[in-house]
Amino acid sequence: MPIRPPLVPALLAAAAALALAGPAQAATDTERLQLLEQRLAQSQDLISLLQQRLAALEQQAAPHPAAAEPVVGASLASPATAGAAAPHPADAQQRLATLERSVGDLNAALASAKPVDDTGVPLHGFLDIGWARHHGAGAASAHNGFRLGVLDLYLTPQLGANVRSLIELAFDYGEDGHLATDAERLQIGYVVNDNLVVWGGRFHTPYGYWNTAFHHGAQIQTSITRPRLIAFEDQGGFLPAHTVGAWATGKLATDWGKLGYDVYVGNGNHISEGVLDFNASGDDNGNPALGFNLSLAPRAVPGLTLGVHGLRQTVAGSNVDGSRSGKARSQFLGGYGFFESDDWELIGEYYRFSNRDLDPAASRAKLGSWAGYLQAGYNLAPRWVGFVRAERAALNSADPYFTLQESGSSYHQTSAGLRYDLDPRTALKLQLDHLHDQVLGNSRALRAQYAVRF
Amino acid sequence: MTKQPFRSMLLAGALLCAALPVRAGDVYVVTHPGVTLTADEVREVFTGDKQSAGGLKLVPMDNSAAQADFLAKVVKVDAAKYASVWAKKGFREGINPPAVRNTDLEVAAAVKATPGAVGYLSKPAPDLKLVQKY
Repeated sequence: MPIRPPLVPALLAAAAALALAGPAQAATDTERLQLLEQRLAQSQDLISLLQQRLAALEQQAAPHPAAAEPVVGASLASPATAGAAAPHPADAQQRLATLERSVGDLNAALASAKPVDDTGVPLHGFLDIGWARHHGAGAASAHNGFRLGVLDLYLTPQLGANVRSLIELAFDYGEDGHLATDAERLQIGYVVNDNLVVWGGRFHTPYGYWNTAFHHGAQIQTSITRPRLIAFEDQGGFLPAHTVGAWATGKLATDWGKLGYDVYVGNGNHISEGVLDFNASGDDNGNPALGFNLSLAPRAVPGLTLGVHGLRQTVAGSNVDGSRSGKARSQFLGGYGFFESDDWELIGEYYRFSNRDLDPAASRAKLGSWAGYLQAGYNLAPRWVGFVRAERAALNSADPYFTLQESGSSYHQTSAGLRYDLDPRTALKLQLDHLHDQVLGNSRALRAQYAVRF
Repeated sequence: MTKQPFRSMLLAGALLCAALPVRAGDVYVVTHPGVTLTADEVREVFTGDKQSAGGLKLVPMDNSAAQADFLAKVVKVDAAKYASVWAKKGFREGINPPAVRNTDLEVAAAVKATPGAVGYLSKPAPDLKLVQKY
């Protein structure tokens, strides 16, 4: 007759009483969750103790048991399995099986109490502050000293199994000192699968790499500033950084690598007081903007993405003081590349414009222009990244699309800088720029930035 | 006196232990029974590059008890880089990082209960579908 230490029945009784206790009447889900966790921990302790006692008894009953690999939920094995492995009195087996089922129920309850696919809305964002010193005739209107950067808040609520949304709000002080509040992105999307996601609303126009990859995320971009040619519409850019419309995007796995695509249609822009406006409240001339972006991340070169992009729209408007107005069809084709490895970050974008002046008196001949930049970053040491950038825009001075825009003049600029990551979420940056603008002249700028993400 | 040889033995033992390579723990990638996934796709699932399989929305789950080994062996990044990957992914594509669970038991129970779930454990789980042991 097997020896039954007096501890075993006591443990079994306590464990069974604990596990079979009635449902907790916790006042809140949190309390209920804590109670369940506490009960689970207590049950697991008891099971461990029982398993030790079981092993001791098995050794007495069978002197040479086979060693077994520990498995997750071993204590949750079916009663039949447990019974077959343990040559114990029937009542002990039954109690143990009951206890195991109870722990299984507790686990399931815990899993359901912490839904992984809930619609909670965690808040993320970016914040930066900076300092700048400008020199030269080309920077006569630029302000020196400290400045608040952008407080960018975004939320990504998942509204269902296939419904996704992205809401981004940006707060920043403009050069005029006024606080601007911007509904930066308001997107609602439907996910068919990895090959197709359809978005509607206001989104970052998916040309090139930078505009969708970094945008207001100062902490995740290596440099302090964006290349001027893709700067925000009200900060010197001459491309539409935002679009209101519909956007289909997706990725396909191929033998060569991952193929990505974007196709979008949105309200065509107009030029208001020399600045591109993306017509959030409706297209002013009934000519939608149409664009695409195709990319390939070749399997043979991990970290590399190469792409082509294009955009076509008809734009009308007036210059900064309202003294001139006009209308142009703008279209560009171009390419871009991005490479990231442990040590290197390389980004380049190229835009080739072939616009037409739609003024009835104009010749309607094609007006060619181009713009592009190349930036290279290198990890100089742990946490230290050095970067350089060269950018150039050669814009046709007879093209109303550019001449009506305050920032539509040809330029070239070189930049160099250092970035130091205080921690994975915080960066200190220093950047020196040298700009030659065909209209404004030469200027230099020294900038510093403290950027965080949360 | 026996003190001196004992100290020498302790020192030798300590040196031997220091010289031995530290063995990382095993990682078992498991899925809900309805998920069809290859070992090559696991990294993509946990970096947000693959979000569905066979018409099923994938639900990756992190396991803080086994995360260090998983990131080193499967995703091949450290925890800081992993967080950065998901920060960028969320900002660009509006998707959320995997929910984090604390123990093998929690992950096993959640994977079992959640269609499309993909998780990883430090020990095998006989009642879950094993994609790959690392």
